[in-house]
Amino acid sequence: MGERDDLPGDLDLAVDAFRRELAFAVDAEGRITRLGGGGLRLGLGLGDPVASAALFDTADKLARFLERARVEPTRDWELCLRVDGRPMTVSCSGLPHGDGVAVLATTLPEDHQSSLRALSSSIDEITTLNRHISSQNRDLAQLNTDLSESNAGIMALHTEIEERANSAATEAEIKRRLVAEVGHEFRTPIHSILGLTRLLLDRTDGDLTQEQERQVRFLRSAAEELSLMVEDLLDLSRLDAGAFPLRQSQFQLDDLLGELRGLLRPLTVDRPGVELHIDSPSAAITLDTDRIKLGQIVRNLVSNALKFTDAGEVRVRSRLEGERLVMEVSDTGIGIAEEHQGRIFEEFARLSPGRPGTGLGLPLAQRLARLLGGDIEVKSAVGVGSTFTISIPRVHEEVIRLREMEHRAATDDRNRPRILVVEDDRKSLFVYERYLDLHGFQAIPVRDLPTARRVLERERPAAIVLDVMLENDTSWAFLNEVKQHEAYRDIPVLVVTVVGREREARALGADEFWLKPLDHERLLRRLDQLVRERAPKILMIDDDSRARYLLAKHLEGTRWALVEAETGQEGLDVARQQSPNVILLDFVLPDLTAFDVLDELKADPRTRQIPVIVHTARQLAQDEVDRLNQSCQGVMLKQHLSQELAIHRIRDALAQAQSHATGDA
Amino acid sequence: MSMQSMPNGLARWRDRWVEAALSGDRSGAMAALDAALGEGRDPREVLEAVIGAGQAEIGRRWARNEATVAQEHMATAIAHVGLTRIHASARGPHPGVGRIVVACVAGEQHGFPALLLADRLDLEGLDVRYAGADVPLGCLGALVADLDPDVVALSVTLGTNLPALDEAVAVVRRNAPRASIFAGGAGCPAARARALGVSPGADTVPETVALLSQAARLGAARSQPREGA
Repeated sequence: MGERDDLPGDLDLAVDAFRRELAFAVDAEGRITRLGGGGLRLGLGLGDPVASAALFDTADKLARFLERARVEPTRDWELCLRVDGRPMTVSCSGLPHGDGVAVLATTLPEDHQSSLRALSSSIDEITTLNRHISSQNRDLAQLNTDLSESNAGIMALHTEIEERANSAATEAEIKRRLVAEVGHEFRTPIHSILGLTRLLLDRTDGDLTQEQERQVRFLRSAAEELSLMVEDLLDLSRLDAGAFPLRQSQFQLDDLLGELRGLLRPLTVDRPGVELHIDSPSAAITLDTDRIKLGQIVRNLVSNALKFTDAGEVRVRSRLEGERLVMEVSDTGIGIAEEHQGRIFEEFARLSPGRPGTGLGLPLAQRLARLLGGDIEVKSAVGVGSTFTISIPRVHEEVIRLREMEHRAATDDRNRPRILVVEDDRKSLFVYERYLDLHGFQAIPVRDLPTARRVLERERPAAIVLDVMLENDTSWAFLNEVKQHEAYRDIPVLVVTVVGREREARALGADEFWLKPLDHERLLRRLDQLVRERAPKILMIDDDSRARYLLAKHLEGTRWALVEAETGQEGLDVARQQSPNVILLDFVLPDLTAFDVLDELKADPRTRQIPVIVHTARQLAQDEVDRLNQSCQGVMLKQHLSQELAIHRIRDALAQAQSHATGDA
Repeated sequence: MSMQSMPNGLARWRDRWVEAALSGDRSGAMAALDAALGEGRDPREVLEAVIGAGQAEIGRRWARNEATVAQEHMATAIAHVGLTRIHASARGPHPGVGRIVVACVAGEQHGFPALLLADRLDLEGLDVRYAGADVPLGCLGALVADLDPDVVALSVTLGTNLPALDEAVAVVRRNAPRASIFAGGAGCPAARARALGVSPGADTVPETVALLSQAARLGAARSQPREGA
């Protein structure tokens, strides 16, 4: 930098020092012949080829420039030269100079150059960012594809599982039906045999020899065995079908045990070496579960124990463990080998072929115990005996839940519409309750029709959901009953069922009919429509305040709301503003005649469709009646106005308006 | 890419592109691009024959002193937009193709050639990450360590940036030891690449694309057993 360190004092030199230019001359071969001032330096010496200052591939352009400038003055060629030790774009102009060229190179202002650089790098940065984002988007899209693929896979898997479950269910159903059919077919002949052997043993048709009696007794006991087998089979098939309703009741265990003693004693008769003990528990145990099923379990276990015990005893012991009833049936029989213990609850798994029995008793007992919310376990040693332990809840879980639900339903929440839900399946009832509760309704859950009737006597629900097996004609009767009854007819009834008898349901007045499985969202939407829609509005135009009062009284307790008007004009105004569903029009009004009002109503598109019932205190002439019949729904005589009649007429008018509306739509 | 090899139909759109880009008419340039794509051309072809060849043509015009540096800058900005437009049709990498990082060495402000190559590779279905112009050494090191690429392509447009290439190669070797390294661009002679022990790029874009994708696939195939282990 020595050249510029000593700043000169005179003007020319000062200008030289600040110039951002470069001047030089080259000969015909492009060698430097002169180096001028101008602030910038090429970094070359005299005789050096100027091309060595050109940057890489721009030497061609420099050569082209020099070639041209040797012939004629050439202006403003941008060249890339190494100037002041760094690459720089300079604008060169040249003149012929001897057989060479004189060149002046100027640079672009520094700030312009740096702006350009900044701009380029910004663009590059934006582009880089763009590529980055698009690659991220692709990753996301890939992730999405992966997700939806695995989703599709899961769906396919689900479908497969469902298909398998369906085919399994179909097989099970075939088996169940076969068992049920065959079982029922067997019952009749077995009962004939039992009846006939009874007749023979009673000597109804004459005496029997001792040998004959022995044979008949064999016959009879074989038939009894067969009968038990068939009953077990039928029970199992009912359990499979889920058609084994729980009938819970509250009872003392001791009472049940007493019954069982009487019932089971005869079984010990042909087992002289075996004693049967049914011990009473140390303290009274109150149960709330299905008494018959519990009895059936114990009976099956005891009769099973007796079959496999030749000497010793069979003992039933009961105790309470917390809230669970534990009953043990132990015997001193042949016992069950360890490897067989896992199979004894399988149907038809008869592990001792020499012994009597169907192989159905234990599976049935276990299924029943599970139905009661418990299970049966076995402990056994070969040659020592077996102990079967039943353990079930003292109070059946569903009893508890039903009680809670009934308790909730009993607390009337005035702010929520109450929906009577008639459903024989307990689980569905819980589902209904939860759904309705979540959506601002209060469920009144009942499991049978008598209870439903009692509810209706007590209160007026906003709607009824009738979810019952409609194969059962009593349900149809109930629907009919509700829809025929003056007080209940307006309660919307939604029928949900597994059988497609929609036409019958509709004919009986069901407001909605759905096949299971029920879409709960749809149910709620419909309930909302039915229950929460604006109450139908009745406009009464009458100057007689007593008549208005009377109708108001009549309409009490219905869903209908009454709007009143004293004069014809007021009535017309109200009709236009409030669009009532039905108008009750007095024949004699202070300002207008009923015909005037009717004409006005028909003339206005807002009120044209509203059905009108004319009511009057005086007998009308035939021509008046004829004229009215053309423009109104009907005529009602005031002196005959009973609640029943009023409600009938209004309902008919509403029904007609509704069918009109749907017909128009 | 030489003029002779260019399809006739696309030459028309390239000329339109060049005129529009040099006069700063961005929408005119995009119209030319869209028209080329609208003929049902392969986007890769359009990228090379319209934008790539257009930029080369603008360079030639500068050498003939028919275009200024300012015009060149403007045209390059428009070309960035054009590339981005075409890139939108890229569908993302095919499986198992291998990953390529394309970067300009530190100080190298000319990102466009590298971007064009990266986009071209992207359209080829390779897994490409474009790191940008003037990638500082430290960033390059961290990036390749993070992405574990099969190939790293380093771009040098101005020969003055060659010293930065030496450092870049060293840092890639350190941080992504299994990556094949390529060095190319107008400022990087093949001999220089070979001297550094890395592969030079080819003379044309399609050849370079072929070279890089082959190397990337090889790298991906070799790394499979390692990833499985």
